[in-house]
Amino acid sequence: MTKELDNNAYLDMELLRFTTAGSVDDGKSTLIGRLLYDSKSIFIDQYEAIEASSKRKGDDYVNLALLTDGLRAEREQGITIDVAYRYYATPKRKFIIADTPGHIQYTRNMVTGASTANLALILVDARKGLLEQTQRHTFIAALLGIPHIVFCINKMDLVDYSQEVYDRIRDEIEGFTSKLDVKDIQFIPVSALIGDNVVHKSKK
Amino acid sequence: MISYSITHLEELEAEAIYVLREVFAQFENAALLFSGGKDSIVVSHLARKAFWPARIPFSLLHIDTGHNFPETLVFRDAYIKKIGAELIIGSVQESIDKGRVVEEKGYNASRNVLQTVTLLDTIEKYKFDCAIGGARRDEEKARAKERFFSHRDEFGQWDPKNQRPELWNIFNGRKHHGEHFRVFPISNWTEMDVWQYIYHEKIEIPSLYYSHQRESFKRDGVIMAATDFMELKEGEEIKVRTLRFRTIGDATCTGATISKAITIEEIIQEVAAARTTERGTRADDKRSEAAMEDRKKEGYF
Ligand SMILES: Nc1nc2c(ncn2[C@@H]2O[C@H](COP(=O)(O)OP(=O)(O)O)[C@@H](O)[C@H]2O)c(=O)[nH]1
Ligand SMILES: [Mg+2]
Repeated sequence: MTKELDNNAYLDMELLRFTTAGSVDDGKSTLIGRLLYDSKSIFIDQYEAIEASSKRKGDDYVNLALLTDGLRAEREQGITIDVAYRYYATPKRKFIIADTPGHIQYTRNMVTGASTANLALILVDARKGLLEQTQRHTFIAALLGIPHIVFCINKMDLVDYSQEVYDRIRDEIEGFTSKLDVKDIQFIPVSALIGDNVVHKSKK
Repeated sequence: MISYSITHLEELEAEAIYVLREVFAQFENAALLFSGGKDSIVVSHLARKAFWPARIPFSLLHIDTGHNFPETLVFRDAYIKKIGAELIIGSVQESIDKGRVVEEKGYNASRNVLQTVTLLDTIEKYKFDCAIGGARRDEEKARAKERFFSHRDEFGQWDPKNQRPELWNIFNGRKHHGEHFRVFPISNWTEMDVWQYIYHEKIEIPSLYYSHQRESFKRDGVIMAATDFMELKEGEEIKVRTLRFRTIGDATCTGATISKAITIEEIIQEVAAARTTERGTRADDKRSEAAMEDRKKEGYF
């Protein structure tokens, strides 16, 4: 690449590849949709398309998970079958997001998406806590050597944003991950559906 | 230890070059799909870099719908000459004449869907075991699901529900006789990345991408170029507009945008401000919600 343009801000950006993980229905696709939507990375025609398709299915809200669930079978069944890649940028960084499936029979697709990631967002349903699939995905993320893991305790809206529930799940996960070799583990309570604490900091 | 970091565009370039070399290593007879659009131009450019100073070790394959903008063909022929590549043309007109496909009728008739048959026939005729394409995952929701190395069965079909694992930078090109692969080196590039790369590498592109005056008409809110290939409906009226194309495909399904951008810098500013995707002007994607997925399953690009 030519030297003279080194001062160009676009060229100076770093690339971060991250993946979602966690059990079925814990909110992975919704979280990615929310992240893209709230960071204004969705184009009008894309939004109109998922709006129309939510309406057709009888949802009374726009289902942001449809942004990554792009296959016909995924939309019909409301699940993620294969990894979807999405892209967005902030002024400092470019992001490549892999939204992966939670079902056990699609684990190979989850591994495909996770293999190139530097960061994994592992979703946990606040009502259900640490599930077998959460453990499996966390273990895979550690095996793949992903250096950063963020556990997103999701659906906080369904547990009244309870600190107690959050702390309990956090303890449970810390007990499990103490045996794993991961450089950096963080925890964040979120509501992907409502958009609480995803792009905008929670007031709750 | 010296700290070493690369920018995201360098990382994307390195990834694409790696994939192209991997194609050469794993396949016997690969073709590079060349439409004369910016993405296939960028892939050709990357292929030149990957094998420089040798020539690109792939034939360039153009699936010609016969409904081209003349500018694209002028560009294509000059480009082929410049890089010294071999050009193979698969002609949709020929497929129609042979009775392999039937021309669509009506106002929105397009040869876009028919291309798939021509593409698969050409792949079979020349015994290509791999076709390299410039598709990007950010273009469309079904494309967002595709692997770098995308397996096609003996009928050229893609099975999106049963894709192979693809870990790290290990690409699996194993196949049975008669099957082939589609490989997408710039899978992870966005529209913006492509334009930035064109800018920084000073890559030549067809004049259609720059603002110009053109006779055009509006259909379903999309500005279409007036060409011999399209019939006007009642009430549609031809006007000269100052416009450019964000993506170039078949003239019957590529919409234009009103624009005054005459340099790449100006195009980049437009892309940065755009609130619709580049395919938002593509009539071929609007046919149904899963239009792209359906076409891809059958063997489309
Ligand atoms: N109440 C509530 N529902 C959520 C939240 N996040 C996701 N959901 C719902 O949980 C279901 C599964 O979400 P989805 O994103 O498809 O989960 P995935 O399988 O992990 O990708 C959908 O019905 C979502 O609307 C949340 O924060 N709060
Ligand atoms: Mg999902």
